[in-house]
Amino acid sequence: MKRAVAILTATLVTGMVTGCVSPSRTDRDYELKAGNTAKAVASSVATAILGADAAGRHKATGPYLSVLLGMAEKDALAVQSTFDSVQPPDATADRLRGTVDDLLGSATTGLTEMRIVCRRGELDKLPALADRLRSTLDGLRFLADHFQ
Amino acid sequence: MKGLLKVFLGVLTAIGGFVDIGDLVANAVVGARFGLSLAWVLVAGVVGICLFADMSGRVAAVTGRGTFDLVRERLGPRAGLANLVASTFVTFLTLAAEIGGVALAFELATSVSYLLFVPLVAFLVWFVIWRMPFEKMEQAFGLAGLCLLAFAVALWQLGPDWGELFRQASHPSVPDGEGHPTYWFYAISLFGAAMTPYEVFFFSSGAVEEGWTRKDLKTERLNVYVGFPLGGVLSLAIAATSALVLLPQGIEVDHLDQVALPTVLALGKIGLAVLIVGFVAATFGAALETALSTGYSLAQYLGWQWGKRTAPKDAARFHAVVLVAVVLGAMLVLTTLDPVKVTEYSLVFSAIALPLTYFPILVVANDPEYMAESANGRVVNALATGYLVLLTVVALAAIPLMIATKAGQ
Repeated sequence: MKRAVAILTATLVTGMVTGCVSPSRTDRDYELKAGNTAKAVASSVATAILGADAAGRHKATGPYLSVLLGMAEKDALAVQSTFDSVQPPDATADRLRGTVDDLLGSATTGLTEMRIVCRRGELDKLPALADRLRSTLDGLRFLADHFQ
Repeated sequence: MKGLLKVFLGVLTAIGGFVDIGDLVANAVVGARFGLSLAWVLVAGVVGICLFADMSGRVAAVTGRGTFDLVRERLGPRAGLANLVASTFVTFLTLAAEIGGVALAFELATSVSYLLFVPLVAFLVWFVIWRMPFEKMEQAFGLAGLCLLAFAVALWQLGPDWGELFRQASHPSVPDGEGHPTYWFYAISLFGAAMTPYEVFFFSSGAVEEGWTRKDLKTERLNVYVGFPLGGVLSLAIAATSALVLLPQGIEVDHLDQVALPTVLALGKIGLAVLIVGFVAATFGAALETALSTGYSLAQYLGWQWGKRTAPKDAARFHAVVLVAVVLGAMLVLTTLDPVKVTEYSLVFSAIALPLTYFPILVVANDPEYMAESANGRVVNALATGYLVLLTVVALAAIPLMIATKAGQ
């Protein structure tokens, strides 16, 4: 009986620890995860760019943009964290991981800068920061389309 | 003007039913992912809810009694209990989400975390139910909810290709990159949202609160055929603005702030201000509806005194149920559970509860002992039977589709 309880406990603990990380057993599976990650972060970046567009045309208030940009950053960071926890199966996947990580890093840094500037009330700086994110957005969209 | 004010029970019910926090986001999600290819579901939902709300309103006007009261009497306590448990669970989840929804709307206006507003919103919901007369409540929130027409104005301002929008709506198809199961999952969610059970409980109990009789059947129909189609139009406008602005950018909608983005781009700060008033009114109205519906259904089933027209000391148990529901709802939101996710799931559970809700209403509306010459006609019965078959299919498919698509991901 004690042994059964021990096995059950070990299984539960293992499940809880490993269950947080989504494994990838093949390159294709890893590529699909990379594609979905790029798509999700591209959505956050595109949201922020539209928000900056509204700010540039004096169409949105500071509090609204603060929420919009804060949420976009939070979503992108969550997606990045999830992707980073996926185990790449081999060296090919390692290279893809590097490419995706570069883009995710660039996206989250850009979104963080936009959130900081917005919360300082410097809304007129947002369009310039958004312009710097456009190439990142293109890269993310390319990955998302390529690894569907 | 007096005639106009009479339709606000239907307007408030429909705004709560069609554009509460979950629907606001769900409509934008659907527009941003599927364009207007799911517009047919909204049309089917509007026809269905008009059909059954008309029945329940007619029953209330003719008998002067609430839906649950009659369901229990006509079908017995067991059938009534299944109906009560299923619909109260969905209604309570929705109440919790609406409290969070009002707080989210305040956050958009102030950028202060929505969690700080939750206790205040819960207090205000209880206070309005406790102090504000029913007619004033429905007029105030129904009228303010009309601010959501800003979505329709924004749509016009965005200058869409109307022909293309009409083509998308009239030739439904699954867009590239989306699977059929996801398409059908969202179809079921939208249908469940349009026909969510608390709409009929609130509408029929509101009719009793307003003291409708046979003489008010015209007012009852006016409420149904103005209020619910208006809710459908608002839903379509939200989906269309998202289809025009967010879909081409590949934006996946997860939050209320993204729902407002197309209107902000089209109408600027004034549009945003009007929209936030509309968000507050719609979600607050839905919170009032769901809180009252919880009290109405339980009190009617158990045969307690109920209603805002009854003095609180005479309907103490009804008011206690409402208070407990509001407090528990606020506590659920304060766990930091995402209010939008809560309603997304409650829409699916709502779809499962649909046959349990609408079958008893159809039975009572056909009973000549209650309804005499106001019982359903053949055409209404044929349509309602068709809808019940559809509701059963929807209820059976809801959970498998939710699992297969990971709730539409």
